[in-house]
Amino acid sequence: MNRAICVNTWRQFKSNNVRLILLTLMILLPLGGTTLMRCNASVAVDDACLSPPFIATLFTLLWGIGVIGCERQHGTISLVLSRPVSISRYVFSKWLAVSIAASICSVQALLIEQFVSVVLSPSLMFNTEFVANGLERVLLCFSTASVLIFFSSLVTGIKDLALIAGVLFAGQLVRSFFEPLTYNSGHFLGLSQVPSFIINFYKACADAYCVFLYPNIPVADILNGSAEFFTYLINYTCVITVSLSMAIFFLSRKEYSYAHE
Amino acid sequence: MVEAEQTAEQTKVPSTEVVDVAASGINVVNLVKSYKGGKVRALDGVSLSIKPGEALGLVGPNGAGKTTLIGCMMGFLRYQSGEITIDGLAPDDLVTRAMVGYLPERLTFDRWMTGRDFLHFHHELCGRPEKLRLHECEELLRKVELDPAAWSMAVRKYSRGMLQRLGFAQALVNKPRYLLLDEPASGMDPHGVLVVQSLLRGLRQDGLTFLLNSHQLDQIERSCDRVIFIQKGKVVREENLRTREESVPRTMCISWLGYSDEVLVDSALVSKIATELGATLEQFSQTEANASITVGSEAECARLIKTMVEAGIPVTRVVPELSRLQKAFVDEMSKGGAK
Repeated sequence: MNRAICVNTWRQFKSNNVRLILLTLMILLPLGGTTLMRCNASVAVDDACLSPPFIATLFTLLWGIGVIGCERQHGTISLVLSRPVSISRYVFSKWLAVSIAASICSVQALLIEQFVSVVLSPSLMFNTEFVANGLERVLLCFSTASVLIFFSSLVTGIKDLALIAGVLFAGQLVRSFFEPLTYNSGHFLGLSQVPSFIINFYKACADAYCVFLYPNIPVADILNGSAEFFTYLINYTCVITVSLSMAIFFLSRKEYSYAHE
Repeated sequence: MVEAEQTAEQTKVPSTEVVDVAASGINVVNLVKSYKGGKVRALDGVSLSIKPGEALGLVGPNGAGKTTLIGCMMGFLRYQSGEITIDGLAPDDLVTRAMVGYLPERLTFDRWMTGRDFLHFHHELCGRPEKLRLHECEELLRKVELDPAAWSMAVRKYSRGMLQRLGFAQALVNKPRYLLLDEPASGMDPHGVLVVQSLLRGLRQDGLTFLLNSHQLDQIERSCDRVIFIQKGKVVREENLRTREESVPRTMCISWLGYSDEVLVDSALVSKIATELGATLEQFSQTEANASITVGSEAECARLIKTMVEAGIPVTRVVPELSRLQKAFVDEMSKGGAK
């Protein structure tokens, strides 16, 4: 890891007022929601009403959008790479910078929510859900950051946001087309039966797609014994490794100019 | 020496102190670089070499391929064929990058950074020792004569000239052995241009090897040992600027005191003197008290001036109409146009 690149990434974020405002909102809005729910008499006393671990994805998006693409767009990446810094080290440092920052923010948001819950209901002091939620958030930040780094290495500026939206939209289109097959005994629109290998192939692709876009380890389920730890661990490690490797590959193949792209 | 070892340790690269003499310097052999799937050939078999301690100028019209050549030498651009080595290593090798400084023509900055932050960031990226950071960066900022009031100012408030000075400082931040400069004085005010000239002179005295791409021919003439002309992606001419050109025809602009009572200086008199010595009067101006005369050699020029003075013409100034490099450039451009 290159400390200078990490610190510079954090400082880049700090200099962007829009992102800072969004970050504040993302901490305050779930907190407001939690507080209102806790104040609601219909909520059980032992329900912490913590926001789901998924929110860590939003924190990562906020920190990671355009993390490499913006440097490419402004041409500052070429000056960094003119120094004795390899592309793999650069990518790794960017990944760590985004992951660590997003983890701190999402855990901080969780801590505040937990604090409010404990104030309103002291019995929630030793809530295990809180620990599992926090751990899941941190894991999600690291994996989502690697996927974002991959998308950011493909395009300039913050076009990676559009790219992710496009991938999600395309996924939904494919899903709406193929999904009826999976619960209709292979019959499509009442016509002839679709070969099972197509259905199996679709299911495999859909699984890979979901794992790639939401690479989490459901810590709470694993602790309950309702999920298989090793399957999730392998998927999780694969997503990080493949995403970062692809980012390094694409950045290595690019030519750099020192002007705005 | 201790400092150099610390740097190498920090950057995780082997020490660059020991260099194979045969492979040292920058060598470019038959470099071919094209864009748009080979439709546009930016570099067409460029070969050049820069010996350690040598200053090489790069001259050519816009679009000749000079910046592309520097991009390839930095390892930013991939070339189709040919080879570039810097001290025997590939340009994108981390060891090479540790010993090369680079100043692009239009440097882009993180606009929120202050000048000092920017330099500190690059100092850290180079793996220079942290304890020397403050001292070395301030020394560089002083060297490029950036106003100390601007050191803590955001880069977005900098003028073009200030950015260029800061860029020059970052090129020197790793204490490079080789320096690639792309239009270092671009956008600078006259004082800035003088600062760059003084810096280049200092770098030469320090024995630094550098490649200077500039449209300011006088800057190249003052700073470089050798110059290479590039046109349409090819090296078309090479000039050694440290050898005297004694027998090259050159047009001199000779001025004299316009109000002399001793002798009436007219075109007939000047033409007669010039013709007697084998020179040619190109232009004569009575009102401006000067004439343009083409001489065949330096010796002929000396004889001409002596004869004019002996004839009572109060000669005050003799300057070549075009400097040596300007003349070579004009010659090459006219050849290129003829082609």
